[in-house]
Amino acid sequence: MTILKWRDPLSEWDMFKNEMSRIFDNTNAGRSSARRAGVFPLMNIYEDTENLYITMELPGVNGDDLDINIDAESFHISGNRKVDVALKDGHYHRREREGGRFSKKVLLPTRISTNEAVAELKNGVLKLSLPKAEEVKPKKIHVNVG
Amino acid sequence: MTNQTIEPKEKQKAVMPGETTKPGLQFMPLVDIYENEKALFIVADLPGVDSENVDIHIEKSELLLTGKAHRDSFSRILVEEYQVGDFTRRFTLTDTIDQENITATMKDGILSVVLPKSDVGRPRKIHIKTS
Repeated sequence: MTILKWRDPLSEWDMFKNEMSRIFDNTNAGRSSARRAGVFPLMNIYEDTENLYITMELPGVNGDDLDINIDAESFHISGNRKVDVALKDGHYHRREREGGRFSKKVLLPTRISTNEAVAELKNGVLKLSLPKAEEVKPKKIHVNVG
Repeated sequence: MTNQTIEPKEKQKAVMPGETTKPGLQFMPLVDIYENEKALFIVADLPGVDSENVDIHIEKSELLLTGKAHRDSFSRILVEEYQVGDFTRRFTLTDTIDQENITATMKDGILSVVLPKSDVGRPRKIHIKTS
């Protein structure tokens, strides 16, 4: 299993390189770095003031084939993507889709409150909505006039 | 097969003939294509695409598949390992496809298209009668 550390200098560098190659539309550079750095399933992390959102593309995977564990600082996703190989007769022209097991553990950028975490799987995209822990939410400080 | 681990694949940008006038990113979906005696099958990964947003267009001997992906708009991106965009890919068909009876189903972000072969093109065993 691969554990991805938050603010890992290497992946930061990869992100920077990806961004640069995207800007200059050099598709080859982006491809090679993603292959080295990425672990299936590839994920995106977003945030607003209340929540962290993590999305992953998992076409063909249903909830029964997925195992998601979260704690206040990390989440671990594992599962099995089944690709039909029930071809009794005939032959393949192309086989680009890949099946197999996957496991990925990610340290979260902020602490979260696990109680209200929600996972939703729709059209092959998994979306986790993870409420940030109270202590990391932005707070307004009231100024007392003395 | 089941113990194999999956390698992540970065999405390949779709290469379209001529200039594209569509806005946004266009990716090539990963596909399996196989055929047996009766039909040609295309299975395509279209994560984030609702069945209503899939379009299969057949003109002459070309099948054009497009899928519009759902895009969330979030205020701040922290990590972006993959890009979200629409899918498009062209396939050249042989003229033996029975275009009237093509069926397509969508489930969990996977599109399955069955293209039945017309009787004309189906291999046939010819019995030779002896007199």
